[in-house]
Amino acid sequence: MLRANEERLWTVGALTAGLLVWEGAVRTGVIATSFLPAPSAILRAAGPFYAGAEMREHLVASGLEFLIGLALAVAAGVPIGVAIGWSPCLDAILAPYLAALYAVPKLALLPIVIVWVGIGLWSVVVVVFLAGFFPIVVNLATAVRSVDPTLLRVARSLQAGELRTIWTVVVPSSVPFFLAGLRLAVIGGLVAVVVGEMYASKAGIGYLVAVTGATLQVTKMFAAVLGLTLSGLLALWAIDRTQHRVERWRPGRSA
Amino acid sequence: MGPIAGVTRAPDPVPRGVAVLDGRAAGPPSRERHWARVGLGAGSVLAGLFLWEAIGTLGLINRIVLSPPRDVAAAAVQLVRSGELAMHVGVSLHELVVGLTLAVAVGLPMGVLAGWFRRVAWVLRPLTGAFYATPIIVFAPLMVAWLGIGFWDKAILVFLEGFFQVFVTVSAGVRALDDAWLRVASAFAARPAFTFRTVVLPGAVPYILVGVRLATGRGLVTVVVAELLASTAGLGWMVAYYGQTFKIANVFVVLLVTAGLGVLADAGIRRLEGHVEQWRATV
Repeated sequence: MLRANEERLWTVGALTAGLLVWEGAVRTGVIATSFLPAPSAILRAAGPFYAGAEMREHLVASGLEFLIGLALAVAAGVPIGVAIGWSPCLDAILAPYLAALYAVPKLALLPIVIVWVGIGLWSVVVVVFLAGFFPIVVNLATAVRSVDPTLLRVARSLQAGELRTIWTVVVPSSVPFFLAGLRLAVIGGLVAVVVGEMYASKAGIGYLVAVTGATLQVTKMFAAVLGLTLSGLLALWAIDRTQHRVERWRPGRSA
Repeated sequence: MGPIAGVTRAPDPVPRGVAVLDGRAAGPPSRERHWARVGLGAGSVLAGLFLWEAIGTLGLINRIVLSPPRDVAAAAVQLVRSGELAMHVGVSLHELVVGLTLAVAVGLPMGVLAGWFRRVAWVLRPLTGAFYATPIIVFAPLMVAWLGIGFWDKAILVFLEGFFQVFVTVSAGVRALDDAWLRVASAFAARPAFTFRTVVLPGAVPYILVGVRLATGRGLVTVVVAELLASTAGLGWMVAYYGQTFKIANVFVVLLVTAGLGVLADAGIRRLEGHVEQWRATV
Protein backbone atom coordinates (compact mmCIF):
# COMPACT_ATOMS: atom_id res chain seq x y z
CA MET A 1 0.00 0.00 0.00
CA LEU A 2 2.75 2.35 0.99
CA ARG A 3 4.76 1.35 -2.05
CA ALA A 4 1.82 1.91 -4.36
CA ASN A 5 1.38 5.38 -2.88
CA GLU A 6 5.04 6.20 -3.30
CA GLU A 7 4.89 5.05 -6.89
CA ARG A 8 1.86 7.22 -7.62
CA LEU A 9 3.54 10.17 -5.95
CA TRP A 10 6.60 9.91 -8.17
CA THR A 11 4.58 9.42 -11.36
CA VAL A 12 2.13 12.23 -10.69
CA GLY A 13 4.94 14.46 -9.45
CA ALA A 14 6.97 13.87 -12.60
CA LEU A 15 3.94 14.50 -14.80
CA THR A 16 3.19 17.75 -13.01
CA ALA A 17 6.82 18.85 -13.08
CA GLY A 18 7.12 18.02 -16.77
CA LEU A 19 3.99 19.96 -17.66
CA LEU A 20 5.13 22.92 -15.54
CA VAL A 21 8.56 22.99 -17.21
CA TRP A 22 6.92 22.79 -20.63
CA GLU A 23 4.47 25.57 -19.72
CA GLY A 24 7.28 27.69 -18.28
CA ALA A 25 9.54 27.19 -21.29
CA VAL A 26 6.81 28.40 -23.62
CA ARG A 27 5.75 31.34 -21.43
CA THR A 28 9.31 32.61 -21.04
CA GLY A 29 9.85 32.26 -24.75
CA VAL A 30 12.49 29.51 -24.61
CA ILE A 31 10.24 27.56 -26.97
CA ALA A 32 8.35 29.54 -29.61
CA THR A 33 4.56 29.16 -29.38
CA SER A 34 4.38 28.57 -33.10
CA PHE A 35 6.71 25.61 -32.60
CA LEU A 36 5.22 23.96 -29.56
CA PRO A 37 2.27 25.54 -27.72
CA ALA A 38 1.92 25.49 -23.93
CA PRO A 39 -0.15 22.66 -22.42
CA SER A 40 -2.63 25.18 -21.01
CA ALA A 41 -3.09 26.66 -24.49
CA ILE A 42 -3.75 23.19 -25.93
CA LEU A 43 -6.33 22.46 -23.26
CA ARG A 44 -7.97 25.83 -23.74
CA ALA A 45 -8.11 25.29 -27.49
CA ALA A 46 -9.44 21.75 -27.14
CA GLY A 47 -12.80 22.82 -25.63
CA PRO A 48 -14.11 25.03 -28.45
CA PHE A 49 -12.29 22.85 -30.98
CA TYR A 50 -14.25 19.75 -30.06
CA ALA A 51 -17.51 21.62 -29.39
CA GLY A 52 -17.60 23.12 -32.89
CA ALA A 53 -20.20 21.89 -35.39
CA GLU A 54 -17.54 21.15 -37.99
CA MET A 55 -15.81 18.84 -35.56
CA ARG A 56 -18.79 16.53 -35.33
CA GLU A 57 -18.50 15.79 -39.02
CA HIS A 58 -14.84 14.82 -38.66
CA LEU A 59 -15.48 12.66 -35.60
CA VAL A 60 -18.36 10.86 -37.31
CA ALA A 61 -16.26 10.24 -40.42
CA SER A 62 -13.33 8.79 -38.49
CA GLY A 63 -15.56 6.81 -36.15
CA LEU A 64 -17.51 5.26 -39.03
CA GLU A 65 -14.38 4.31 -40.94
CA PHE A 66 -12.84 2.76 -37.85
CA LEU A 67 -15.92 0.81 -36.77
CA ILE A 68 -16.86 -0.50 -40.23
CA GLY A 69 -13.26 -1.56 -40.93
CA LEU A 70 -12.88 -3.25 -37.57
CA ALA A 71 -16.26 -4.99 -37.85
CA LEU A 72 -15.32 -6.34 -41.28
CA ALA A 73 -11.95 -7.48 -39.94
CA VAL A 74 -13.65 -9.40 -37.13
CA ALA A 75 -16.36 -10.81 -39.40
CA ALA A 76 -13.77 -12.13 -41.87
CA GLY A 77 -10.88 -12.78 -39.51
CA VAL A 78 -12.65 -14.97 -36.96
CA PRO A 79 -13.98 -17.69 -39.31
CA ILE A 80 -10.81 -17.71 -41.42
CA GLY A 81 -8.61 -17.88 -38.33
CA VAL A 82 -10.65 -20.73 -36.84
CA ALA A 83 -10.61 -22.62 -40.15
CA ILE A 84 -6.84 -22.24 -40.51
CA GLY A 85 -6.23 -23.34 -36.95
CA TRP A 86 -8.56 -26.31 -37.29
CA SER A 87 -7.48 -27.66 -40.67
CA PRO A 88 -3.74 -28.22 -41.26
CA CYS A 89 -4.53 -28.64 -44.96
CA LEU A 90 -6.15 -25.22 -45.26
CA ASP A 91 -3.31 -23.79 -43.21
CA ALA A 92 -0.75 -25.17 -45.67
CA ILE A 93 -2.67 -23.74 -48.62
CA LEU A 94 -3.17 -20.24 -47.18
CA ALA A 95 0.10 -19.88 -45.25
CA PRO A 96 2.17 -18.43 -48.13
CA TYR A 97 -0.43 -15.76 -48.86
CA LEU A 98 -0.86 -14.80 -45.24
CA ALA A 99 2.91 -14.64 -44.73
CA ALA A 100 3.36 -12.43 -47.79
CA LEU A 101 0.52 -10.09 -46.92
CA TYR A 102 1.64 -10.05 -43.32
CA ALA A 103 5.08 -8.81 -44.34
CA VAL A 104 3.76 -5.98 -46.51
CA PRO A 105 3.13 -2.77 -44.57
CA LYS A 106 -0.63 -2.50 -44.95
CA LEU A 107 -0.52 1.30 -44.93
CA ALA A 108 1.70 1.28 -48.01
CA LEU A 109 -1.21 -0.31 -49.90
CA LEU A 110 -3.09 3.01 -49.69
CA PRO A 111 -2.24 4.23 -53.22
CA ILE A 112 -3.39 0.89 -54.70
CA VAL A 113 -6.50 0.82 -52.54
CA ILE A 114 -7.34 4.28 -53.82
CA VAL A 115 -6.96 3.12 -57.41
CA TRP A 116 -9.33 0.25 -56.59
CA VAL A 117 -12.05 1.92 -54.54
CA GLY A 118 -11.45 5.65 -54.92
CA ILE A 119 -10.75 8.35 -52.34
CA GLY A 120 -13.27 8.54 -49.53
CA LEU A 121 -14.81 6.57 -46.72
CA TRP A 122 -14.17 3.19 -48.31
CA SER A 123 -10.47 3.63 -49.03
CA VAL A 124 -9.92 4.21 -45.31
CA VAL A 125 -12.27 1.36 -44.35
CA VAL A 126 -10.25 -1.06 -46.50
CA VAL A 127 -6.96 -0.05 -44.86
CA VAL A 128 -8.46 -0.37 -41.37
CA PHE A 129 -9.77 -3.79 -42.37
CA LEU A 130 -6.36 -4.90 -43.61
CA ALA A 131 -4.64 -3.62 -40.47
CA GLY A 132 -7.11 -5.41 -38.19
CA PHE A 133 -7.57 -8.63 -40.14
CA PHE A 134 -4.11 -10.14 -39.64
CA PRO A 135 -3.73 -9.96 -35.87
CA ILE A 136 -7.21 -11.48 -35.53
CA VAL A 137 -6.56 -14.32 -37.99
CA VAL A 138 -3.15 -15.17 -36.54
CA ASN A 139 -4.34 -15.08 -32.94
CA LEU A 140 -7.42 -17.19 -33.63
CA ALA A 141 -5.43 -19.79 -35.55
CA THR A 142 -3.04 -20.01 -32.59
CA ALA A 143 -5.98 -20.21 -30.20
CA VAL A 144 -7.55 -23.12 -32.03
CA ARG A 145 -4.23 -24.99 -32.19
CA SER A 146 -3.76 -24.62 -28.47
CA VAL A 147 -7.17 -25.82 -27.28
CA ASP A 148 -6.79 -28.19 -24.35
CA PRO A 149 -6.55 -31.67 -25.97
CA THR A 150 -8.41 -33.24 -23.03
CA LEU A 151 -11.46 -31.14 -23.78
CA LEU A 152 -11.35 -32.21 -27.41
CA ARG A 153 -11.13 -35.87 -26.39
CA VAL A 154 -14.09 -35.41 -24.06
CA ALA A 155 -16.11 -33.87 -26.88
CA ARG A 156 -15.11 -36.72 -29.14
CA SER A 157 -16.00 -39.42 -26.69
CA LEU A 158 -19.38 -37.77 -26.21
CA GLN A 159 -19.90 -38.16 -29.96
CA ALA A 160 -19.92 -34.45 -30.68
CA GLY A 161 -19.68 -33.62 -34.36
CA GLU A 162 -16.95 -31.38 -35.75
CA LEU A 163 -19.07 -28.24 -35.94
CA ARG A 164 -20.51 -28.85 -32.51
CA THR A 165 -17.02 -29.34 -31.07
CA ILE A 166 -15.86 -26.10 -32.65
CA TRP A 167 -18.86 -24.21 -31.31
CA THR A 168 -18.87 -25.59 -27.76
CA VAL A 169 -15.17 -26.21 -27.07
CA VAL A 170 -12.94 -24.34 -29.50
CA VAL A 171 -14.77 -21.00 -29.66
CA PRO A 172 -15.13 -20.45 -25.88
CA SER A 173 -11.52 -21.33 -25.20
CA SER A 174 -10.40 -18.97 -27.99
CA VAL A 175 -11.93 -15.87 -26.43
CA PRO A 176 -8.79 -14.63 -24.65
CA PHE A 177 -6.75 -14.97 -27.86
CA PHE A 178 -9.49 -13.18 -29.77
CA LEU A 179 -9.44 -10.28 -27.32
CA ALA A 180 -5.64 -10.08 -27.51
CA GLY A 181 -5.95 -10.00 -31.30
CA LEU A 182 -8.70 -7.39 -31.12
CA ARG A 183 -6.44 -5.25 -28.96
CA LEU A 184 -3.77 -5.28 -31.64
CA ALA A 185 -6.41 -4.71 -34.32
CA VAL A 186 -7.67 -1.62 -32.46
CA ILE A 187 -4.16 -0.19 -32.20
CA GLY A 188 -3.43 -0.93 -35.85
CA GLY A 189 -6.86 0.30 -36.92
CA LEU A 190 -6.42 3.66 -35.19
CA VAL A 191 -3.13 4.22 -36.98
CA ALA A 192 -4.76 3.13 -40.24
CA VAL A 193 -7.62 5.61 -39.87
CA VAL A 194 -5.24 8.47 -39.21
CA VAL A 195 -2.79 7.63 -41.97
CA GLY A 196 -5.56 6.83 -44.42
CA GLU A 197 -7.12 10.22 -43.80
CA MET A 198 -3.79 12.02 -43.82
CA TYR A 199 -2.90 10.51 -47.17
CA ALA A 200 -6.13 11.30 -48.99
CA SER A 201 -9.48 12.40 -47.62
CA LYS A 202 -11.73 15.37 -47.09
CA ALA A 203 -12.78 14.71 -43.52
CA GLY A 204 -11.77 13.02 -40.29
CA ILE A 205 -9.31 13.44 -37.46
CA GLY A 206 -6.36 12.43 -39.64
CA TYR A 207 -7.36 15.04 -42.19
CA LEU A 208 -7.50 17.65 -39.42
CA VAL A 209 -4.09 16.63 -38.08
CA ALA A 210 -2.59 16.83 -41.58
CA VAL A 211 -4.08 20.24 -42.36
CA THR A 212 -3.36 21.84 -38.98
CA GLY A 213 0.12 20.29 -38.77
CA ALA A 214 1.16 21.33 -42.26
CA THR A 215 -0.07 24.90 -41.75
CA LEU A 216 1.58 25.21 -38.33
CA GLN A 217 -1.72 25.61 -36.45
CA VAL A 218 0.13 23.70 -33.80
CA THR A 219 -2.29 24.30 -30.95
CA LYS A 220 -5.19 22.83 -32.90
CA MET A 221 -3.03 19.95 -34.09
CA PHE A 222 -2.10 18.96 -30.57
CA ALA A 223 -5.74 19.25 -29.52
CA ALA A 224 -6.63 16.81 -32.31
CA VAL A 225 -3.80 14.44 -31.30
CA LEU A 226 -4.95 14.64 -27.69
CA GLY A 227 -8.44 13.51 -28.70
CA LEU A 228 -6.92 10.68 -30.68
CA THR A 229 -4.76 9.53 -27.78
CA LEU A 230 -7.70 9.62 -25.41
CA SER A 231 -9.97 7.64 -27.72
CA GLY A 232 -7.21 5.06 -28.18
CA LEU A 233 -6.78 4.73 -24.43
CA LEU A 234 -10.54 4.44 -23.99
CA ALA A 235 -10.80 1.65 -26.56
CA LEU A 236 -7.92 -0.30 -24.98
CA TRP A 237 -9.38 0.19 -21.52
CA ALA A 238 -12.72 -1.18 -22.69
CA ILE A 239 -11.02 -4.27 -24.14
CA ASP A 240 -9.02 -4.83 -20.96
CA ARG A 241 -12.21 -4.61 -18.90
CA THR A 242 -13.93 -7.12 -21.16
CA GLN A 243 -10.90 -9.38 -20.94
CA HIS A 244 -11.08 -9.22 -17.18
CA ARG A 245 -14.80 -9.93 -17.07
CA VAL A 246 -14.68 -12.75 -19.59
CA GLU A 247 -11.84 -14.45 -17.76
CA ARG A 248 -13.64 -14.63 -14.42
CA TRP A 249 -15.58 -17.82 -15.09
CA ARG A 250 -12.51 -19.76 -16.21
CA PRO A 251 -11.58 -22.37 -13.61
CA GLY A 252 -8.14 -22.11 -12.06
CA ARG A 253 -7.43 -18.60 -13.29
CA SER A 254 -7.62 -15.83 -10.80
CA ALA A 255 -6.66 -13.09 -13.26
CA MET B 1 3.24 -18.32 -37.24
CA GLY B 2 3.10 -18.04 -33.49
CA PRO B 3 0.98 -15.56 -31.60
CA ILE B 4 1.85 -11.97 -32.30
CA ALA B 5 3.78 -10.18 -29.61
CA GLY B 6 1.27 -8.58 -27.34
CA VAL B 7 -0.69 -11.73 -26.61
CA THR B 8 0.27 -11.39 -23.01
CA ARG B 9 -2.91 -12.17 -21.18
CA ALA B 10 -3.83 -15.27 -23.13
CA PRO B 11 -3.30 -18.68 -21.50
CA ASP B 12 -0.03 -20.43 -22.28
CA PRO B 13 -0.30 -22.14 -25.64
CA VAL B 14 0.26 -25.87 -25.69
CA PRO B 15 3.66 -26.68 -27.23
CA ARG B 16 3.58 -27.22 -30.97
CA GLY B 17 2.98 -30.72 -32.24
CA VAL B 18 1.13 -31.96 -29.19
CA ALA B 19 -1.63 -34.42 -30.05
CA VAL B 20 -4.81 -32.44 -30.41
CA LEU B 21 -7.27 -34.74 -32.08
CA ASP B 22 -6.99 -38.20 -33.60
CA GLY B 23 -5.60 -37.86 -37.07
CA ARG B 24 -3.80 -34.63 -36.29
CA ALA B 25 -0.13 -34.27 -35.53
CA ALA B 26 1.02 -36.40 -32.63
CA GLY B 27 4.51 -35.57 -31.47
CA PRO B 28 6.81 -33.52 -33.69
CA PRO B 29 5.56 -33.39 -37.29
CA SER B 30 6.88 -36.25 -39.38
CA ARG B 31 8.94 -35.76 -42.52
CA GLU B 32 6.10 -36.78 -44.84
CA ARG B 33 3.79 -34.33 -43.11
CA HIS B 34 6.35 -31.57 -43.58
CA TRP B 35 6.70 -32.29 -47.30
CA ALA B 36 2.93 -32.56 -47.74
CA ARG B 37 2.70 -29.11 -46.22
CA VAL B 38 5.41 -27.67 -48.44
CA GLY B 39 3.80 -29.30 -51.48
CA LEU B 40 0.37 -27.88 -50.71
CA GLY B 41 1.86 -24.44 -50.12
CA ALA B 42 3.85 -24.48 -53.36
CA GLY B 43 0.85 -25.78 -55.29
CA SER B 44 -1.38 -23.08 -53.90
CA VAL B 45 1.14 -20.35 -54.78
CA LEU B 46 1.49 -21.65 -58.34
CA ALA B 47 -2.28 -21.90 -58.72
CA GLY B 48 -2.66 -18.37 -57.36
CA LEU B 49 -0.06 -16.93 -59.74
CA PHE B 50 -1.66 -18.77 -62.67
CA LEU B 51 -5.10 -17.46 -61.78
CA TRP B 52 -3.76 -13.94 -61.33
CA GLU B 53 -2.02 -14.08 -64.73
CA ALA B 54 -5.11 -15.54 -66.40
CA ILE B 55 -7.36 -12.79 -65.01
CA GLY B 56 -5.05 -10.14 -66.43
CA THR B 57 -4.39 -11.83 -69.77
CA LEU B 58 -8.04 -12.62 -70.41
CA GLY B 59 -8.92 -9.06 -69.49
CA LEU B 60 -11.38 -10.02 -66.76
CA ILE B 61 -9.98 -7.17 -64.68
CA ASN B 62 -8.23 -4.20 -66.22
CA ARG B 63 -4.43 -4.70 -66.32
CA ILE B 64 -3.96 -1.26 -64.84
CA VAL B 65 -6.07 -2.09 -61.80
CA LEU B 66 -4.49 -5.50 -61.14
CA SER B 67 -1.21 -5.99 -62.98
CA PRO B 68 -0.59 -9.67 -63.70
CA PRO B 69 2.67 -11.34 -62.55
CA ARG B 70 4.31 -11.01 -65.99
CA ASP B 71 3.94 -7.22 -65.90
CA VAL B 72 5.24 -7.12 -62.34
CA ALA B 73 8.31 -9.17 -63.33
CA ALA B 74 8.97 -6.89 -66.31
CA ALA B 75 8.61 -3.83 -64.07
CA ALA B 76 11.03 -5.36 -61.57
CA VAL B 77 13.67 -5.96 -64.24
CA GLN B 78 13.29 -2.42 -65.52
CA LEU B 79 13.45 -0.80 -62.06
CA VAL B 80 16.51 -2.82 -61.07
CA ARG B 81 18.37 -2.30 -64.38
CA SER B 82 17.89 1.45 -64.38
CA GLY B 83 19.28 1.64 -60.85
CA GLU B 84 16.16 3.53 -59.79
CA LEU B 85 15.16 0.95 -57.19
CA ALA B 86 18.61 0.82 -55.60
CA MET B 87 18.72 4.60 -55.30
CA HIS B 88 15.36 4.78 -53.49
CA VAL B 89 16.13 1.78 -51.27
CA GLY B 90 19.31 3.60 -50.28
CA VAL B 91 17.40 6.75 -49.33
CA SER B 92 14.91 4.83 -47.18
CA LEU B 93 17.56 2.69 -45.49
CA HIS B 94 19.63 5.76 -44.69
CA GLU B 95 16.67 7.38 -42.90
CA LEU B 96 15.90 4.11 -41.14
CA VAL B 97 19.44 3.43 -39.94
CA VAL B 98 20.06 6.95 -38.66
CA GLY B 99 16.71 6.98 -36.84
CA LEU B 100 17.33 3.58 -35.29
CA THR B 101 20.85 4.52 -34.21
CA LEU B 102 19.47 7.55 -32.41
CA ALA B 103 16.72 5.41 -30.88
CA VAL B 104 19.24 2.95 -29.45
CA ALA B 105 21.62 5.70 -28.35
CA VAL B 106 18.86 7.31 -26.26
CA GLY B 107 16.59 4.37 -25.50
CA LEU B 108 19.29 2.02 -24.24
CA PRO B 109 20.73 4.15 -21.43
CA MET B 110 17.29 5.38 -20.42
CA GLY B 111 15.94 1.84 -20.45
CA VAL B 112 18.81 0.59 -18.31
CA LEU B 113 18.30 3.40 -15.82
CA ALA B 114 14.54 2.80 -15.66
CA GLY B 115 15.10 -0.93 -15.23
CA TRP B 116 17.67 -0.44 -12.51
CA PHE B 117 16.16 2.39 -10.48
CA ARG B 118 12.42 1.99 -9.83
CA ARG B 119 12.05 5.69 -9.28
CA VAL B 120 13.36 6.54 -12.73
CA ALA B 121 10.75 4.17 -14.18
CA TRP B 122 8.03 5.88 -12.16
CA VAL B 123 9.19 9.31 -13.24
CA LEU B 124 9.31 8.33 -16.91
CA ARG B 125 5.93 6.57 -16.88
CA PRO B 126 3.88 9.56 -18.12
CA LEU B 127 6.26 9.89 -21.06
CA THR B 128 6.17 6.21 -22.01
CA GLY B 129 2.40 6.15 -21.48
CA ALA B 130 1.96 9.03 -23.91
CA PHE B 131 4.19 7.29 -26.46
CA TYR B 132 2.30 4.05 -26.09
CA ALA B 133 -1.13 5.52 -26.71
CA THR B 134 -0.30 7.96 -29.50
CA PRO B 135 0.47 6.72 -33.00
CA ILE B 136 3.79 8.43 -33.73
CA ILE B 137 2.97 8.84 -37.40
CA VAL B 138 0.41 11.57 -36.55
CA PHE B 139 3.40 13.84 -36.05
CA ALA B 140 4.49 13.42 -39.67
CA PRO B 141 2.84 16.65 -40.91
CA LEU B 142 4.23 18.55 -37.94
CA MET B 143 7.73 17.21 -38.55
CA VAL B 144 7.49 18.35 -42.14
CA ALA B 145 6.40 21.81 -40.95
CA TRP B 146 9.25 21.94 -38.44
CA LEU B 147 12.07 20.35 -40.39
CA GLY B 148 10.97 20.52 -44.02
CA ILE B 149 10.45 17.65 -46.46
CA GLY B 150 13.62 15.64 -46.62
CA PHE B 151 15.80 13.42 -44.55
CA TRP B 152 15.44 14.53 -40.94
CA ASP B 153 11.65 14.56 -40.68
CA LYS B 154 11.67 10.80 -41.41
CA ALA B 155 14.73 10.02 -39.31
CA ILE B 156 13.19 11.77 -36.30
CA LEU B 157 9.90 9.88 -36.71
CA VAL B 158 11.83 6.59 -36.80
CA PHE B 159 13.72 7.72 -33.74
CA LEU B 160 10.51 8.44 -31.81
CA GLU B 161 8.95 5.14 -32.86
CA GLY B 162 12.10 3.13 -32.12
CA PHE B 163 13.01 4.88 -28.89
CA PHE B 164 9.85 3.66 -27.23
CA GLN B 165 10.39 0.04 -28.32
CA VAL B 166 14.00 -0.04 -27.19
CA PHE B 167 13.25 1.71 -23.93
CA VAL B 168 10.40 -0.60 -22.96
CA THR B 169 12.15 -3.88 -23.80
CA VAL B 170 15.48 -2.89 -22.25
CA SER B 171 13.95 -1.73 -18.99
CA ALA B 172 11.90 -4.94 -18.82
CA GLY B 173 15.07 -6.91 -19.50
CA VAL B 174 17.07 -5.23 -16.78
CA ARG B 175 14.22 -5.74 -14.34
CA ALA B 176 14.09 -9.43 -15.26
CA LEU B 177 17.78 -10.02 -14.43
CA ASP B 178 18.36 -13.05 -12.26
CA ASP B 179 18.72 -11.95 -8.65
CA ALA B 180 21.19 -14.76 -8.01
CA TRP B 181 23.78 -13.18 -10.32
CA LEU B 182 23.41 -9.84 -8.61
CA ARG B 183 23.85 -11.48 -5.21
CA VAL B 184 27.00 -13.22 -6.45
CA ALA B 185 28.34 -9.88 -7.62
CA SER B 186 27.60 -8.21 -4.31
CA ALA B 187 29.02 -11.22 -2.39
CA PHE B 188 32.28 -10.62 -4.24
CA ALA B 189 32.06 -6.98 -3.24
CA ALA B 190 31.86 -5.82 -6.85
CA ARG B 191 31.57 -2.10 -7.27
CA PRO B 192 28.33 -0.92 -8.97
CA ALA B 193 30.16 0.08 -12.15
CA PHE B 194 31.76 -3.36 -12.35
CA THR B 195 28.48 -5.17 -11.67
CA PHE B 196 26.87 -3.06 -14.31
CA ARG B 197 29.48 -3.91 -16.94
CA THR B 198 29.80 -7.62 -16.16
CA VAL B 199 26.27 -8.60 -15.09
CA VAL B 200 23.65 -6.06 -16.09
CA LEU B 201 24.76 -5.22 -19.61
CA PRO B 202 25.47 -8.79 -20.80
CA GLY B 203 22.25 -9.93 -19.17
CA ALA B 204 20.28 -7.30 -21.04
CA VAL B 205 21.75 -8.08 -24.47
CA PRO B 206 18.94 -10.42 -25.60
CA TYR B 207 16.36 -7.82 -24.64
CA ILE B 208 18.27 -5.11 -26.43
CA LEU B 209 18.20 -7.22 -29.57
CA VAL B 210 14.46 -7.85 -29.23
CA GLY B 211 13.95 -4.11 -28.81
CA VAL B 212 16.04 -3.36 -31.88
CA ARG B 213 14.17 -5.99 -33.90
CA LEU B 214 10.75 -4.56 -32.99
CA ALA B 215 12.02 -1.03 -33.61
CA THR B 216 13.37 -2.01 -37.02
CA GLY B 217 10.06 -3.53 -38.12
CA ARG B 218 8.04 -0.55 -37.04
CA GLY B 219 10.70 1.88 -38.20
CA LEU B 220 10.56 0.53 -41.74
CA VAL B 221 6.79 1.02 -41.82
CA THR B 222 7.22 4.52 -40.40
CA VAL B 223 9.78 5.47 -43.07
CA VAL B 224 7.60 4.17 -45.90
CA VAL B 225 4.43 5.82 -44.59
CA ALA B 226 6.19 9.14 -43.91
CA GLU B 227 7.58 9.06 -47.44
CA LEU B 228 4.14 8.23 -48.75
CA LEU B 229 2.77 11.35 -47.07
CA ALA B 230 5.49 13.81 -48.10
CA SER B 231 8.86 13.16 -49.73
CA THR B 232 10.98 13.50 -52.81
CA ALA B 233 12.62 10.06 -52.76
CA GLY B 234 12.49 6.65 -51.10
CA LEU B 235 10.35 3.52 -51.25
CA GLY B 236 7.24 5.31 -49.97
CA TRP B 237 7.73 8.02 -52.57
CA MET B 238 7.84 5.35 -55.29
CA VAL B 239 4.62 3.78 -53.98
CA ALA B 240 2.85 7.14 -53.98
CA TYR B 241 4.24 8.29 -57.33
CA TYR B 242 3.56 5.09 -59.26
CA GLY B 243 0.20 4.68 -57.54
CA GLN B 244 -0.86 8.15 -58.64
CA THR B 245 0.37 7.54 -62.19
CA PHE B 246 -1.44 4.18 -62.34
CA LYS B 247 1.70 2.08 -62.79
CA ILE B 248 0.43 -0.58 -60.44
CA ALA B 249 3.04 -3.14 -61.55
CA ASN B 250 5.78 -0.81 -60.26
CA VAL B 251 3.90 -0.37 -56.99
CA PHE B 252 3.75 -4.14 -56.55
CA VAL B 253 7.52 -4.36 -57.09
CA VAL B 254 8.18 -1.72 -54.45
CA LEU B 255 5.79 -3.39 -51.98
CA LEU B 256 7.52 -6.74 -52.49
CA VAL B 257 10.93 -5.14 -51.95
CA THR B 258 9.69 -3.42 -48.78
CA ALA B 259 8.24 -6.66 -47.43
CA GLY B 260 11.46 -8.47 -48.34
CA LEU B 261 13.59 -5.90 -46.52
CA GLY B 262 11.41 -6.25 -43.44
CA VAL B 263 11.61 -10.04 -43.48
CA LEU B 264 15.38 -9.97 -44.06
CA ALA B 265 16.05 -7.53 -41.23
CA ASP B 266 13.82 -9.51 -38.90
CA ALA B 267 15.50 -12.81 -39.77
CA GLY B 268 18.97 -11.28 -39.45
CA ILE B 269 18.35 -9.93 -35.97
CA ARG B 270 16.68 -13.19 -34.93
CA ARG B 271 19.84 -15.05 -35.97
CA LEU B 272 21.87 -12.68 -33.87
CA GLU B 273 19.52 -13.41 -30.97
CA GLY B 274 20.12 -17.12 -31.56
CA HIS B 275 23.89 -16.62 -31.40
CA VAL B 276 23.57 -14.72 -28.16
CA GLU B 277 21.40 -17.47 -26.69
CA GLN B 278 23.97 -20.11 -27.65
CA TRP B 279 26.66 -18.17 -25.92
CA ARG B 280 24.51 -17.86 -22.80
CA ALA B 281 23.85 -21.58 -22.66
CA THR B 282 27.58 -22.35 -22.50
CA VAL B 283 28.36 -19.91 -19.70
